[in-house]
Amino acid sequence: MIEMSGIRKTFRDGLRANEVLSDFNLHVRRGEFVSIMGPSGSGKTTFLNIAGLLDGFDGGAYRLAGTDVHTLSDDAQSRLRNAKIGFVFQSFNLIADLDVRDNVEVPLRYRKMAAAERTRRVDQVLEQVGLSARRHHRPSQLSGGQQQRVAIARALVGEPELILADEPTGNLDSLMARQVMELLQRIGEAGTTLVIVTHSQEIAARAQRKLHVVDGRVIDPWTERPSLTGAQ
Amino acid sequence: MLPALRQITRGLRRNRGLTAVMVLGLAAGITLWQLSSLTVRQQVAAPPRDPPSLFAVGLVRQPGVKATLPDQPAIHLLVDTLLSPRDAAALALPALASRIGMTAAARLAAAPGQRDPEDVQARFLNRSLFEMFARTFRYGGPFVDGAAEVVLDDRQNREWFGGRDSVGETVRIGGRRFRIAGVLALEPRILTWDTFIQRPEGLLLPMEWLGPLRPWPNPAGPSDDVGRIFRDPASAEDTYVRLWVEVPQEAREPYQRALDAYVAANGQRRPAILSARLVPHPEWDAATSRPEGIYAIFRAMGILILAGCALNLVRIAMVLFAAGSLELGIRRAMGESRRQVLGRQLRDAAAVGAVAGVIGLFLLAASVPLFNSLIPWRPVTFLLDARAAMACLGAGPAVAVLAALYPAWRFSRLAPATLLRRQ
Repeated sequence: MIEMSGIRKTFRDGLRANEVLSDFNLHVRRGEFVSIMGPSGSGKTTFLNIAGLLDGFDGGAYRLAGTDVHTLSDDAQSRLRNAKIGFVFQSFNLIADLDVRDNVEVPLRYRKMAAAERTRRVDQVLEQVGLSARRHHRPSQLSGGQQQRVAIARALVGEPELILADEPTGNLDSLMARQVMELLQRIGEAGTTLVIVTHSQEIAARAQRKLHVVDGRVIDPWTERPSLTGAQ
Repeated sequence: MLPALRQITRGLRRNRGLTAVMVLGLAAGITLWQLSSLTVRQQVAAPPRDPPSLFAVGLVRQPGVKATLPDQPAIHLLVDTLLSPRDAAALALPALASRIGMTAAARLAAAPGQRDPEDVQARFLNRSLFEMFARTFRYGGPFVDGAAEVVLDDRQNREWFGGRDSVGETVRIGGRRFRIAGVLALEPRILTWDTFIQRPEGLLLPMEWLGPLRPWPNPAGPSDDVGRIFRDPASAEDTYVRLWVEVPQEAREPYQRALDAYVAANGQRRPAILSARLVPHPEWDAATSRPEGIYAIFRAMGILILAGCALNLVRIAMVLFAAGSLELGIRRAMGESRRQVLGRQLRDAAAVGAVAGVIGLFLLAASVPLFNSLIPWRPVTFLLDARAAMACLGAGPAVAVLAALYPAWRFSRLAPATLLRRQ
């Protein structure tokens, strides 16, 4: 699903250059549940942004679902992102003045899809995350756990092949975090590729494969050496 | 369509303060721009008719002659198209002109019904002049030459009769009663038949009443004896009358020969008549009171104000887009492309501009009476014609889109990750 080889990413602030990812290699198979851990500033979120086509990279090669993303126009990247990827962010990133239903519907708005079909899909995912009764609530009227479930519903509504989650339980208490993780795990078990960036050992333990990112490289947790593929 | 409208209204509501500043700023700009444009349009004559067949008959008198107006510095007469009544009568040649019309400006004491008389700017003219200058009527029609009838202009009719149909009502002038035959329609630009000496004329009456009513003559003529025109019309030199003729192409040379013959026959007159000619209306218009060049300053000011508004909008749009960058990032993450971002931002800007255009139109309508009260001697009468409405409604979205173009482009170029980091 994700094939990254030799990815480099440098952030520039004036004359200073900070290489966040250097020779970053990672292969994630279709349907796999992968957790990525690492210290702050190690490049986990940058990796997730590049994997999700939210940011570009300076060197290397990245194929998403068999497509070389480097050659794609912005329009094509946006279509690919919309069709293949769902995002779950630590701070939920819901649009404050849209209600639950409209928030969940956002990804479908960029597809040529009939309104009835959009409604059907939104209703279905809201049912799946247990928020049907809250469809007309604004994000500010929901608890943190409910907001994250809305975000998960939004990620699911487009039936993506890949879900990228950045600290999905970072802003939740332990009970809500467990509920959200159980939901994500069910999604993974249903065949969706799941890549979760987390600091939590408990969450990482749920994954089929645990990876560490240190100084912009994937580290094999057993040997503490850079891994060429990210595979254990 | 409906979701798009919902999204637009949501966008307008989200940052109410900034949006209000944006809308009101642009509306004020549009108002000022249109006010300047309106002023220019009303002051600048309408473009001449095509093909040109309308001429003022001009007599070139002894050079260096100056004219004086009471309490005004001396002025030079640029084009001698003001004639004495006897010259005007002699040079009106019905055999060569398809239409002939004479006109003279005056001030008269006049009043409707039983009200006290007031000083009114008036004009004597022939009925044919209404047709020659394509004047249209709001109520009624032109008077009958020689009849005790008058025509009011729209402003005078509003002042005296509140704008209602006053045809058939009575106006008292110099102890006589005149029936109102018609009210002129308000027109954004009119083909002018005379220079406005003091203010636009509110009262128009048949040329035949020039003698009996004895208005104070125009002193801007070569004679020191203003008033002789009424004591001795046959020999007075007071230039008081403008003579307009419509001359077909084939009759222009014969008409010119007739004018030359008249000059030759009046060689002994003082001040001397040097030459006579047919002055085309565009030339007369350009040389008299309405140089477009002066009003270009007003036009430029209006456009500068609008440009200032646009620059202000750029800054506000940057702030607004920055405030909405998280939503932008979320939408980009969900699959919105740069092109869609740009389109959405510009559509929102167009909506803001459209609201500003409508408000601008109302502000314009409301500000004209204020403008009129500040400059009562030169009232600009607001006329909500299609052009003004289209200008306001069109300029709003156009300026807003233009102003939002750079901020929208800049924000659309940012990577979604960059936008999400701004939260």
